[in-house]
Amino acid sequence: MKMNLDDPKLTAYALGELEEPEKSAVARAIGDSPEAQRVVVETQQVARALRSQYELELNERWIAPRRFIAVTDDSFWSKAGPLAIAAVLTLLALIGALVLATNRSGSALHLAGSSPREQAESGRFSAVEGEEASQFAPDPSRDFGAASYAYVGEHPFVSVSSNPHSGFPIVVTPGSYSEVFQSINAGVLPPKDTVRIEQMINYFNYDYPEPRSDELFSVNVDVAGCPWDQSHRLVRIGLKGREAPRDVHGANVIARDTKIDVEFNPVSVGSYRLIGYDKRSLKGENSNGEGPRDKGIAAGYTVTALYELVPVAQQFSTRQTAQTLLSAKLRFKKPDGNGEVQSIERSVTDDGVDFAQAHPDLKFAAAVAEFGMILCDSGYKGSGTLGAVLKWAQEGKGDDANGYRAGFIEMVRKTQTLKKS
Amino acid sequence: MRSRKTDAEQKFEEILQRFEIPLLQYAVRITGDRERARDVVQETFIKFQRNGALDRADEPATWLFTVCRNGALNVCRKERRMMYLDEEAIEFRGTEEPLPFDRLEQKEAAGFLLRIVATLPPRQQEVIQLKFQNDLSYQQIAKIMKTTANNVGVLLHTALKTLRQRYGEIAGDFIPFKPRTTE
Repeated sequence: MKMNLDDPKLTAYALGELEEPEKSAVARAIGDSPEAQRVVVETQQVARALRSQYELELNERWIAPRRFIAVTDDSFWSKAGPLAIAAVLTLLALIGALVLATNRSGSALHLAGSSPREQAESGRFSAVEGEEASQFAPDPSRDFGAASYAYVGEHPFVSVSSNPHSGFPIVVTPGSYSEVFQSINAGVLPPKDTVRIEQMINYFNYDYPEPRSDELFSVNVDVAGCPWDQSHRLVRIGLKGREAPRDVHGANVIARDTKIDVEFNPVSVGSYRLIGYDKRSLKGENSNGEGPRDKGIAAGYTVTALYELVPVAQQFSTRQTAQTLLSAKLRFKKPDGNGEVQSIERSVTDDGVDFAQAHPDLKFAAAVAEFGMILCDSGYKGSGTLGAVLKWAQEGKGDDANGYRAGFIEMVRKTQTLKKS
Repeated sequence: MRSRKTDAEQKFEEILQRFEIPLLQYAVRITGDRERARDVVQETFIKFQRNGALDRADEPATWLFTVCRNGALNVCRKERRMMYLDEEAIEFRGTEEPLPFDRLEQKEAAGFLLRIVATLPPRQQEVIQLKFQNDLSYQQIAKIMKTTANNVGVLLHTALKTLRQRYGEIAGDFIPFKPRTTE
């Protein structure tokens, strides 16, 4: 038997998976082939290295198990009800904060004063019987009793390894903001389907630099901690078209067929989620999620989109060197051109900026996004509250020359009152 | 309150202790999301108890990984995520692309081999994790992944071939090889 180096049996032999008589046959064949022997030895070395690296990874505990508590007696909840829930929530929130904090620093999970084993056991559920098993205390990051995923139109998290490219429609009208504003002013929480987060975000002006003299657009990307999920990152992509005088026809139409392609780096990003752009609002969406073709972008036009990213598992970031996070490529045609496609590309690295240090405009946009997610009871709203939205909006208020942002802050306050009543 | 744990409780805790984190890591890699992974693993252990799988299964690994995998794939389907392990997505990503790390950095990093694993096509990543993290046999892996042991062999062989090459290139520290001769 001549041993073919590409025969899977060789690997199976090296891993001890073969049984007689195959095992002996392969062993004999290998004896005649130094190359095959080398493959076997190297395979075994890689196998050993893999086993030990997986073991290290397990000890690092880069994903903490959910801390859940078994309920074995229904009556307990009806009697002790609210107090018990409050106590459990407080406890879970504390543990959750510790988990997040330790996960974020990429280190193993340890609670002060207890060994990993004790700590792992203390939070685990003890054996439970029957139907009660499903009655676990709620996740502290979600409002108690709130139905998750009630709002089905949202974009889910998408795995970068299977789909690294994303796009969003460039043309956004801000209509939803006015509807939401009027509704809340009138003392009624707006119906979920009037809340279009991308329209609300783009109601506001953000201060993007003018394009370089040789380019029609400035493509601006910044990254910071995601305020409603500390283990995630928040990316803002802002485009600004060049200011241009009106032409003889009174138009200042500067580009057409504008498309953006955002490519995420699988080395640093595990999955991503485009915030807003509710699927139901994208009637003309094509398979690339680009939305309807634009009929032309006006001079000075700006658009802002937010992505929430799940970074690649922390066990891989033993070094804190910044990796390329994504590249954003804008393609467009000049209106007077012969259909020639031009493009502008930007690559971005994540410098690990906390949300606290983020650009005020990013803070404000995040506040608007979270407000929208809270209004439509999004499954992705995370740990954010209206109180947090207020804080972020105030931190991100900036000059607010025209008072629009102050109006938003006022609206959030009204919403707090409406929710309480 | 119970003062002593029953044997079944004791056994269950041991299984939880042993499999919870590997299952979480497995589910995260399928769903791409920690929160969903925690849901899936919680559900897996609840089913494990309810179905009395504890009593039947001498070897609970196959049961747990199968149920966990199904649960994770269901989440993907329900939420219309791109399915990490979708049959159609197999071999979707090439492995040619070098990782943007310099050699030295890769060698220093303790988990560098796992980083190379992360660049493999999804099903190859899956067999590698099941085999070397959880020490499952070709037969067990085949059962979990609803395929044949032969196919598992091919996936592992292909994955290990890439890993051997990259490991040699980067680490350069294969133990010097001496061919042995037949008698």
